[in-house]
Amino acid sequence: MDIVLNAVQTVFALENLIFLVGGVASGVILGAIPGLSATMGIALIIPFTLTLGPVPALLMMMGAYKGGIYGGSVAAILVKAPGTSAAAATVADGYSLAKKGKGIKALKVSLVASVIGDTFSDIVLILSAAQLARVALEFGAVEYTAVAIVALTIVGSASGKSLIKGIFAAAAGLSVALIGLDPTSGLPRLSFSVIEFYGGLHLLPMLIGLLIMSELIIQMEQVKSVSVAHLPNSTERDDNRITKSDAKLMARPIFGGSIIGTIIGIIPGLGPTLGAFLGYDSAYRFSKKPELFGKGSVEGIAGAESGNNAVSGANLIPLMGLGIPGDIEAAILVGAFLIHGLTPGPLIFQEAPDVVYGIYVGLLFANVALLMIGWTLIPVFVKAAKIRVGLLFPAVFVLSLVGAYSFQQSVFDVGIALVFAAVGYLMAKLHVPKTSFLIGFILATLLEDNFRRSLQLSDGAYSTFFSSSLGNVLWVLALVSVISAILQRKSRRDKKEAMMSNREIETIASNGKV
Amino acid sequence: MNIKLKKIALSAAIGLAALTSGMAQAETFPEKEVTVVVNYGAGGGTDLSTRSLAEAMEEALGKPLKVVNRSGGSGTVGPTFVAFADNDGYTIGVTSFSPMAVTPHMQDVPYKVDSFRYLGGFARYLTGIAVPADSPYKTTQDLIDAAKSGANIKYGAASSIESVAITRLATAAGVEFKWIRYKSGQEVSTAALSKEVDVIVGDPKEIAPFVKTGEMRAIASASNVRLPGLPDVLTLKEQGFDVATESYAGIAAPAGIDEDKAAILEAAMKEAFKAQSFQDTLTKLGLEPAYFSGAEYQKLIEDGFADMGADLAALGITKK
Repeated sequence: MDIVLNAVQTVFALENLIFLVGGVASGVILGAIPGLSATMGIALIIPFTLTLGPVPALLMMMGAYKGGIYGGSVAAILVKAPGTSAAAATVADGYSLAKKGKGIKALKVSLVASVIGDTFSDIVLILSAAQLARVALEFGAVEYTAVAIVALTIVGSASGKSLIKGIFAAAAGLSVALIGLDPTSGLPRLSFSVIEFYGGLHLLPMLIGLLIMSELIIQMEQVKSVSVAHLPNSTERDDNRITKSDAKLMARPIFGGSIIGTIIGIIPGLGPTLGAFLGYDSAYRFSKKPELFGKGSVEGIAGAESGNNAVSGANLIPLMGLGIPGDIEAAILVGAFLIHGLTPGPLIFQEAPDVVYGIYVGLLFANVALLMIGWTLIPVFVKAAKIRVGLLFPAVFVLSLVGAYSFQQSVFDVGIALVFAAVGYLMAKLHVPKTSFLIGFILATLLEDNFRRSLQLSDGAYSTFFSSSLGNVLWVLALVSVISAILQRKSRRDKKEAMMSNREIETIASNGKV
Repeated sequence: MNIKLKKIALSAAIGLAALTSGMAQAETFPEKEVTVVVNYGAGGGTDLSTRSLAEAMEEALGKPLKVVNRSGGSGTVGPTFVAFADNDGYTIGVTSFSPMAVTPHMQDVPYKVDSFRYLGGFARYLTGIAVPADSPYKTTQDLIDAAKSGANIKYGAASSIESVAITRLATAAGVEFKWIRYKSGQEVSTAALSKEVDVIVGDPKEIAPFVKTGEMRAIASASNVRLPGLPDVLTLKEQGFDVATESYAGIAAPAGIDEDKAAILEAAMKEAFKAQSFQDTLTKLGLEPAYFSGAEYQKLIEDGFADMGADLAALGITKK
């Protein structure tokens, strides 16, 4: 008990509080700016934290991480340009709501879902890090291969109208991810002897081109033709708040998203973007109004945003329980632990319990800080998005270029962003779903690495893929997911056809022709 | 007092360098900020140790050092950037062993060993060999015996150099082990904990904590010295296998830099190496502080490049 009280005291010491709140605020703002990301925020903060004590340093970085994941949804909703890859799943519904004048409602839904997802996974972390961390050890190469396949099946619901185009886009994403070093031999592949290709294409510059810059081009076209300028601002009170019926709708997707995000966080190597897509997918599958998805569904935003934030707390579970970082952000945190003479892992509970409890208390408080800071900033963001389109678009465009460059100070990455701006433009014109492309790209490395490693471990015997019971459960899950996606598509098509034919009959009848 | 003494010693060193050169240009070097290029991402061992070195060098040079990360291409992008930077002394960077002596055998890189004027080495990366705690193989000899009697021993390792370390052992003992490649040291540790592989090769900081928790057993140091935090674990040489593999971190300027400027930078690095804060940081990061002069470091890279060529060819992972 003493140690908890001490931890509370540490966290609420004015200095530490400033770093924590400062971390959350800078995360929200960096995440909200299209092109800058949570990872980048943490990387920027590192040199600054070297001189701090371990608790404030880690709290600042984790605050920035949490803030950044929520912040990413701000630009996704208001400008249709996701600030981070984890916000990609929020774009369609968030922006649709904003177009209807319900931008503030969408932001509030996103914030509340983010904070609940965060809090849920933090509590799971605090109560059971040591036990749950062992779960990560159940995942070997075979299980990861199966997880990647399960995750790929969400292409079924992420593809929108045409499943064929969705599958095509996912395959294209998988293929593009093959550029770089071969994971087994370490030799370069599809690199055309261009040294920058050796490291593979990075998600961030590609995302900036594909989702942000291409979107700007499309919106600029519309500016010319219909002179759309600002998002409408509804004066209806209900359009600017979470109503009782919204809250009812949000409950289930947030619950689902929090659980899914937490599971994704526990398994190292999956990350918040996948948490968002899977949270969105589950919201869609269990929704009573699936037809609203992609056109302004509150449930969709709630599922995606709780899903990605729940990863942030849970990915500390393997870090604290085993010493294994769950994603890039957690790997950066390892460095922060080491520089302060601490080794993350089970021993830290004995060696530095004060740090552990400081982090726990700090994480919970960071969620409160996120809620308060996020809520206060909503009108600011809305106002910022309202500046003249002639200023806003060039500003976002420049920020995108800066973001692509500053990720690893590379002009090559700016080129990548520009190429994918063109690719994204074409995809939008041809109605090829970009999210499917992204899902393919994100999962490719996980799938290929583990598929090939499984075969290496089994000396080439394919039967290895069905040799573990956890793996087999996952295969069944993948199968169920595919079948249910097909059935859902079919039932929606039938409904549509039924509606269509009714309308046709009416039209025909009203025209007086038989 | 101590710091003052150090400063005097350093100004003496710098003064000497300037005197011997007698060149006006070098006397005032550096006049502005010096950029230090790190070839790996922010927050990793190389990044954090270089930042600490840069901080200590700042004190020695009297001008700020700006650390930038140019990661990618298995650590080769950073040295490329340095090799093609202006050789005015204001851009230097990390030329660690792996991108200099190992990767060029596997990929085309736009630089050569002599594209740089080496300023010195500051750390030794150590390599350990470990098995899951309840593994039937308790010692190095057990692994070799098992392989001799037909067992297919699989080892997990993330980098080529770690793979070379255990392959040298296998070759010396006349057996073969199979490499299962992982993306990072953490993945390798996980593979040992989940017993996906029989044995792992890795950084001591990815082994020592798990030995402490009783989940791994370290069976050897593959380096010339024993591992930090594991003083009882013998080196392969001490166990009677005449092999050792080491890797180093060092910094360099582009070739063709004014020799007087290079001498100033080299002296500053030598001085910075002695700083207690730097030594502490290295130890915390699981690296062994080891100083090499510019010339010594160049020899390490040259010899390493030749040795690695043969070893990697034996592993079958060289280009073409």
